[in-house]
Amino acid sequence: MSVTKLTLVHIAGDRDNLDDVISYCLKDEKFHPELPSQSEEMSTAFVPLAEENPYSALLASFLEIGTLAGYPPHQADTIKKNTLSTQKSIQAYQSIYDAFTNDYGILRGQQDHFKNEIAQCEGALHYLKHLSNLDVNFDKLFSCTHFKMRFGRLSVDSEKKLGFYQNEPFIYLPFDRETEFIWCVYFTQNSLSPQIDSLFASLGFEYMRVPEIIHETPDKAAKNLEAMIADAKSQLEATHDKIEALFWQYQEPFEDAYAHLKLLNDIFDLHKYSIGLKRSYLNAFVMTGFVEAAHTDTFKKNIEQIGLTALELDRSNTGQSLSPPTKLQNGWFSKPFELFVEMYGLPKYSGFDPTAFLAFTYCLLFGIMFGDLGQGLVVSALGWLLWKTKQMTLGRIMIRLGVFSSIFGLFYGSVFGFEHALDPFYQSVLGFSEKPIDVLAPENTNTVLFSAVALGIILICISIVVNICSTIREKDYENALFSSNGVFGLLFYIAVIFAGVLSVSTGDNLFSPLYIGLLLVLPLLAILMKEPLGAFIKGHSLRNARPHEGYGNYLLVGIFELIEVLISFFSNSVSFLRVGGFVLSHAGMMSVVFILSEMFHSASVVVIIIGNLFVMALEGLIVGIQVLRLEFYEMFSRYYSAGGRPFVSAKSQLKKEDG
Amino acid sequence: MKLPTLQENAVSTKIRAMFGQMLTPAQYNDLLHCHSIPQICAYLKEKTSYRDALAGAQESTIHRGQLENLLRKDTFYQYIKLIRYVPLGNGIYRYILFQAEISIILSCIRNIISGSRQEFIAEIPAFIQPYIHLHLSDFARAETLEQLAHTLNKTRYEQIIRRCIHVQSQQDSLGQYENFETAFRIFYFETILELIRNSTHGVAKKQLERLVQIRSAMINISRIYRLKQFYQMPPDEIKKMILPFYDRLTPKIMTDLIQSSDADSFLTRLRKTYIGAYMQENSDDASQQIEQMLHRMQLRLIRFSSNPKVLFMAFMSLRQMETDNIIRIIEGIRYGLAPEQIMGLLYQ
Repeated sequence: MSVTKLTLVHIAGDRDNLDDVISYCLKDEKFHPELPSQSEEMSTAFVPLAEENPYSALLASFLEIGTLAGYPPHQADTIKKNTLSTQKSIQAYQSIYDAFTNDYGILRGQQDHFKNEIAQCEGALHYLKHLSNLDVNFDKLFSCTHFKMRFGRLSVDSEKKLGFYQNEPFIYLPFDRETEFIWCVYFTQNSLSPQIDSLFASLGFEYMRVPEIIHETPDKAAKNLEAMIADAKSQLEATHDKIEALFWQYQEPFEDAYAHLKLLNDIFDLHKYSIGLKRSYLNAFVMTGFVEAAHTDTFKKNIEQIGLTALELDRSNTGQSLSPPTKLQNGWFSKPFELFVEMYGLPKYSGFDPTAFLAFTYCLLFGIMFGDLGQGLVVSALGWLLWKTKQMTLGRIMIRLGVFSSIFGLFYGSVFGFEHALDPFYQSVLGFSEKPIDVLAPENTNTVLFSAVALGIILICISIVVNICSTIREKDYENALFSSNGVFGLLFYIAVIFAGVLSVSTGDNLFSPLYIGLLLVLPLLAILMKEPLGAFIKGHSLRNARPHEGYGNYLLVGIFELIEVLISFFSNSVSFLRVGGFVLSHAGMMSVVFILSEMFHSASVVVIIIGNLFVMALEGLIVGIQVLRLEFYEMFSRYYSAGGRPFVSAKSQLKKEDG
Repeated sequence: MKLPTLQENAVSTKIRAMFGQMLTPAQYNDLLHCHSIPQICAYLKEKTSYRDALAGAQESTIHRGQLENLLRKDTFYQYIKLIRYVPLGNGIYRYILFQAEISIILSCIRNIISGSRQEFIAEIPAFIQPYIHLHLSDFARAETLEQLAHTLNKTRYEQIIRRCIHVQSQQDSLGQYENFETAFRIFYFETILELIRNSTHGVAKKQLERLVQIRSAMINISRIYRLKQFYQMPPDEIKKMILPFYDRLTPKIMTDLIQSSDADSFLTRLRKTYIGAYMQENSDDASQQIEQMLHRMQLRLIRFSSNPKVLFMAFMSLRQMETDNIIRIIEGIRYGLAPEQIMGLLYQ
């Protein structure tokens, strides 16, 4: 439960070796590069390496064509599989790309051609559906020279008005009807065509051009079209097979080329972490970063094997404007809970890692609030499944939570809501007359609630102690002693709790003037005068220790802050009532499930199963969130402050940029 | 006071549901930014309550006239849906059909006078034939006013047309049509007002009468302005063409307006009436301002009235205005007007 120790390193070498160095750093995964603006070297003659990446355009083209071809190139193994020594020239990769694109383009063109043909024929076929009642030969019809014909459709209302034009020189022939429209054709002499066209236009006639691919009679035309469609579809299928074969043919060289290009591209992208110095006699680079302390010697040895390259260590990290990043280091039990710490914010490099404490208290509180042997095992099993199949960190957390839930389920004697399923075990094996804690018994309700508050008080005290220890370690004696989460704050809190508990349990009143003055008022005054007292213990004189805004303003603000401190002590303590509340509500919800199951006699098993699943999902989610709230608000606020930045290896840096 | 029947209450409910489906300002804005009739058709089909009406229309080939016809048809079928709940002979609910009949007769008269038969036949709303007693095919065949009068034999319109035929022989073509139009409008408004008086009472009666009177005032104002501006007609002649239905524009005020020396003087006098409050500073289009006022009044009635007849008249009028709005948008886009210019022509 700590922060991994890091060493600041400076890598310097010949410019020609930069790519090899970066390639090694990518594989190593224990090197965190720093941007040059944050290190000292920017103040000298070194300049950032800001060249345009020559690989990015070709890489984008590879990605585009690969996606189009249906296989986006896999990126996972590019770094492991490849080394710079196996790279080809960029021209070679361009040739592979050009050859593939050319062959694919030809087949794609054929594919589009057949698709268009199918679409055209299907459109004509759709149109022909309306013409199917016409028993005419279209070739002969359209070869007529003395009269015009117009195919199209007319609204039903407009067709009724044709009766008004009985004496006009046209022949009207409807051949298909829809609800609102009639498909029809009209014939007229060539010379009269403008007049008749105008007449029909005034009635809203929609002229439809008969597609040129329609020949002979409608039946034959339909058959021809269907044959054309079938032929085009088979050609399309053949083209598709050819494209598939092409993909197989090119897959290996394509993916190989992509992998190499990706590596070259990534390496070039990481040039931004280097700065260069170029002279007529020298072309050097410098790169700065952090390496895990335990790995430093191996890293140095491997780097110095790369041609003209040297590595300078700065184990003390002194004289640097860089603050080291934070990499958490925890055991197998608390490791998954780093997720929550990262959610809140990483600790500073020199700060306290709360992961282990959070892991234990989170599991404890969750187990208390979700205590059920059967449900706990199910949660663990589900968590295991999530971890195995989807590699979800939450799955690992659920495994631990489920175990604690099961343990507390044993205390409550609850198995999938059956409150007396473990009674034989208690009686015959453990020799108890009944289960240890009967949550649903009315006489135990207050005990549960008070116990929850008591647990909360203990956790708050522990949190304050942790704060005191960590502030002392940081040599921040002002906060260690005089803050509301310091020694005097703890003294006040314990004094109040102790006197209160004693007063309620035994009736003894400890609130004598001495007790109040020494253990309540004095600590509060110390907290109120935190700033001047802190300055005094740092060695300042009394005069210099006075607040810069004057005692008047300081005291005015301080009193209000003190009131807030008192309220927060009270509210934080009472907040843990929810732990007891959820113990009771969990049992209560299961009893409701059983009441419902009794109503459905024939389906009671189903109701119990569904009820359990529902309660697990609902209560599990709510309890998880509530415990996290307790952790972040009631506990973290007392002993933990974030402010660290994460340790990101070069490889992870690239993954982040790739999105 | 006669309470609404259960059927009439059903009409009220239906009206409110239909009102909720009318075009919103956002939809009008989208329509104004369309660039072509196919685009308008596609938008109406996909994004508005006109999707059923335009289901069979092909956006790419639809004709302007066809689109307008489909929209009018939809408005008419909305009316049919409403009156399904009340007997067709039930007074005021029949006014749409009555209005349609007069519109067809006047259209036929215009056709006969101007000789634009093809246009007339294209405009005939064939879809209303099942709901009216007149035979539309007979109108299409009428080539003279006498033939038209014969077509209207034994209908309530016959006397009106014969009276006008007798008068028209002494006038020019403009006077001919205006006389027919005035006569039929007077008949229309008289009939409607009588229906209102017979079937409604109290507040509802006043509201409906006001609607009719405002519409009459709108026609009068528009006519006076047009006759003075474009025809410089003398006041005596103008007076014969005024509809004798008055709201807050009393006969005295109307006479005063008619006596204006020219169109500008007319507008100046008009601004001093209650209509002046609704007229914009730089606007000369008084009738458009009255239309806007009427539109707002009808919206208010829809929102606050509970009388089925009032709701019915207000809704049908709004629906017709919405159709007119869409048609104005279509025309505006055809003539390349900017959205802001078209917006100024709409009822809003």
